[in-house]
Amino acid sequence: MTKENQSNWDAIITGGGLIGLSIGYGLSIRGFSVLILDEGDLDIRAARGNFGLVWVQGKGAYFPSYADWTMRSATLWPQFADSLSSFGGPSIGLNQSGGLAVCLSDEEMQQRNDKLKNLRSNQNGRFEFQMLDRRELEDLMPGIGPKVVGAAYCPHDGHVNPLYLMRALAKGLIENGGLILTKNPLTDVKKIGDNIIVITPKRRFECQRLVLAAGLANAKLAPKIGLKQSIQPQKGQIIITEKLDQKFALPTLLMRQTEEGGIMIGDSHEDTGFETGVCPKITSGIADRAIATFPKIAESNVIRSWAALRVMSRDGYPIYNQSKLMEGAFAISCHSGVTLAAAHAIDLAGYIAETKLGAELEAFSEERFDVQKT
Amino acid sequence: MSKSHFSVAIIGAGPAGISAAATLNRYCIENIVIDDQVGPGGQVYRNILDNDNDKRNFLGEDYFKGYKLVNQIFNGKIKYQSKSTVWQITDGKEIALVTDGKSEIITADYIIIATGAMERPMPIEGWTLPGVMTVGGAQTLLKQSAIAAENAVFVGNGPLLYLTAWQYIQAGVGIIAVLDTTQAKNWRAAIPYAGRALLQPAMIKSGYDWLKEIKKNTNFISDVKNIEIIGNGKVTSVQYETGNGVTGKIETNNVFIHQGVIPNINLTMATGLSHGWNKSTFCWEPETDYSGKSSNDYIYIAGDAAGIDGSKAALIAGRIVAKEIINRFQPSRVSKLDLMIERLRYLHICSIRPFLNRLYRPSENFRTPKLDKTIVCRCEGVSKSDVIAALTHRIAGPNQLKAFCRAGMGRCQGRYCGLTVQELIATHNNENMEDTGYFRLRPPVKPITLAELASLKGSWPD
Amino acid sequence: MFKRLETKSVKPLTISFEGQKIKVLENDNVASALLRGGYLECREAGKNDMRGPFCMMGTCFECLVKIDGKPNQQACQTPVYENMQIFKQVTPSLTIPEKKENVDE
Repeated sequence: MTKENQSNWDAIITGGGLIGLSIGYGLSIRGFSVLILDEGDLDIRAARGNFGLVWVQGKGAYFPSYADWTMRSATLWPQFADSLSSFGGPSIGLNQSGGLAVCLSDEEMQQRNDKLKNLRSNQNGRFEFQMLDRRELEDLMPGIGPKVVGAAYCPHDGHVNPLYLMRALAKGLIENGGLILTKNPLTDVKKIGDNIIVITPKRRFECQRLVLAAGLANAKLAPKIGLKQSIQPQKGQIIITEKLDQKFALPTLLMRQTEEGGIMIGDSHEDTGFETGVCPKITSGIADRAIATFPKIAESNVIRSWAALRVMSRDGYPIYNQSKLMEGAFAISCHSGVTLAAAHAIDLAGYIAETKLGAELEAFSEERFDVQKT
Repeated sequence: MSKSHFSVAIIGAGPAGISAAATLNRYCIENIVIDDQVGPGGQVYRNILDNDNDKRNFLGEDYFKGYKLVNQIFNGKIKYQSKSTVWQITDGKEIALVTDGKSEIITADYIIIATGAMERPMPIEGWTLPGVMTVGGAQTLLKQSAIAAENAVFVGNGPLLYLTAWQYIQAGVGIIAVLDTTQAKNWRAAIPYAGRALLQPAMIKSGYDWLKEIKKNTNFISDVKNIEIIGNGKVTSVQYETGNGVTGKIETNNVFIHQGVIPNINLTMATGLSHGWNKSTFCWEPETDYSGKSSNDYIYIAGDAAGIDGSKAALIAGRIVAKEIINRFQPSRVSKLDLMIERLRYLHICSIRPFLNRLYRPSENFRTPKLDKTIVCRCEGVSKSDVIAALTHRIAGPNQLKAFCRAGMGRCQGRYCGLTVQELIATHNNENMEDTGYFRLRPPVKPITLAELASLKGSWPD
Repeated sequence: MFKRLETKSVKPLTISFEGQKIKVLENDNVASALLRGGYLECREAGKNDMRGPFCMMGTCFECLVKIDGKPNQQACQTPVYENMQIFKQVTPSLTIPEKKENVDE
């Protein structure tokens, strides 16, 4: 019997984006047979908006559990990258040499400084950062524009190639006996005895673990396992330039150079529902800020612009929940799929394998949104 | 930054665009024609206002007939803006364009997209070598600069190829060979459509005359099923094999390739308009109703941009679309009878199309490469084997494939690899072409610099 | 070789490509001028991968050249002018820029 015809799996994951693939990969290297059920090519896929930042600075400045989880993932990234490289394929290009948040006004500098000081204090000093003035910044990144006041430098930050990351995860998962079936969305799920039964329009599967990681679709899927996920789409637009002949030493919060040499530039945060149109008003603003940061890239060509929908919870932090109704079923929503990929593949996959979420993830339960618990 | 408003904005100054503008002008509707070339005429009438029949009569009578039409662009209420590239059309009836490094937004009540066609990709081995150009490129060189390549080889099939080869012969330029890729069986398959084609005797005669001249003056090899362009750093020869197993090798430094034209869908797709797969012409076309209206209530499409029907049909389509828009401003201003007659004219002119489409259908051999090493995506240097390797990752479609192997991510934005990639995926996944889909195209429709993009900033009313 | 079929009474100009002077006509575009001058290649797409003008209508982006110091110019879309200095477009090799002394405002 080929994998394609197999209907019995240790774990089934809905969603072939970064969350689903990271968890799936993590389970597969623990010896689980993993099936990923994915939708089609044109459906809404948050992974399209993956920027590639492995970013620590600023995260969880006012929510310590998130700061902890982010730091944890950043420290796990090197071993995670190593494990992926053993499957061959192009290098995912992990680079954790630090990152910058460039500030174009004194006010921005002040706000950034306050935020990061707060983060440092709630991390008991584990979190390091440095506010750089113009001169110091220029040494690190020659060519910054005259409007740049300074930047926040964080040695924990880094970046990775998100496309190659997804490719490597898929490859690793498949080589460990897993399977990805596209155009196979979950339509129903039930528990019969010890098995979780998963139904798609054309097939019926059985498993012992079910992870709902279908991005925005989780809102309608989660109730099937007795859970709720308060998530809304948030649009972000990105532009990318052609290959530059200048190498940038570090990524910034809004700009990241790919291995090929093009620059990805973001970003925006728009509440416009489920539409993913590109708006020249926004993209021209993105371009303008990029030129203010590095005037020399002004003559580079923008060859693509696109928008994707972040899976945004009410407070912006992830939602990790285990079903009380159906043992072995989980619902996961998160918009920092790249940074948290390591923690998802290593820690979270481990918790799912043992059907018990770790204590550090309690703060991320959907229940935090219930003002009154019944 | 100027924010200007027009009743109608027309994108493209080819036969469809100018015909629409002239019609709107006759009914006193002010309009703007935006075009990215230095002069009007599109591809078919390129450079016509500067070309002299005496000095360039090798271009043929049909070409010079376009003079009067194209000249209309300077009439009365038509604003003609050349050297302007449209890079986005938004939901809010805004057209973003760039001229000489500066972007601006133009708005309109109605927009006519008349951006014409481009040549179908022909991914044969060696097609990226210097010295290989498209037949359309050869024709542009003739029209724009009166430049031709001696001792070239023409490879492929279709009316544009035969016309250009004929023009070369008229100009006294020697062609070594025409390697015609029309499959022998296509002749029989096209017979059912021949009757209707006879409604256009003049067009048939033209085609016949071209082919006669070509066969008289060059080595015309039919039913070519395999081609390889050989060279290192530049073309040195072309190897071929016919359906009968006859092989040959021709030494040359210039090869002109062509296997038909297809609508240039980058603007229409990036604008989010609905498209359908045309099973007989094997390409994507924007969906339009009988009036030329797209899936968007204020955007119309005329000419080859809507579907390949040729330049004569484009002239009529431009008039139809203009008249339909006139009626939206002033109901019944143009009578139903007038429109009906135009539509009949259109159908009549198109009667040769089914025959031509079937006869010159691009064969499978030339729609996707035979050899693994052949480049599929020119911009990113992605070969057929790179694409096949990425397909082992269970790709849902072309957009996921882009993420895995970069095909389609270059400057041409999929124009020269989109159909090839689509067919490779469809074959691998055992799907219909329309189910596989195409790259999701996004603005900017042509690359613009960050500075050009930024030059729009702050120019929106809040 | 590309040859010119007729020369209308149009002003001749001189431009240069890779330092070599070429005689052209006033209404040539850079691509037609290079082809007429015998230059079939104008861009390095990768190692051992030279490209030249292909579509002549601005859709393929193969004919990119550096004109008067400015890269990414489509040769087929750019009319020639007297003394234009054209160089092949080379694939970028990522280099770290010089220190701040060389930064212009």
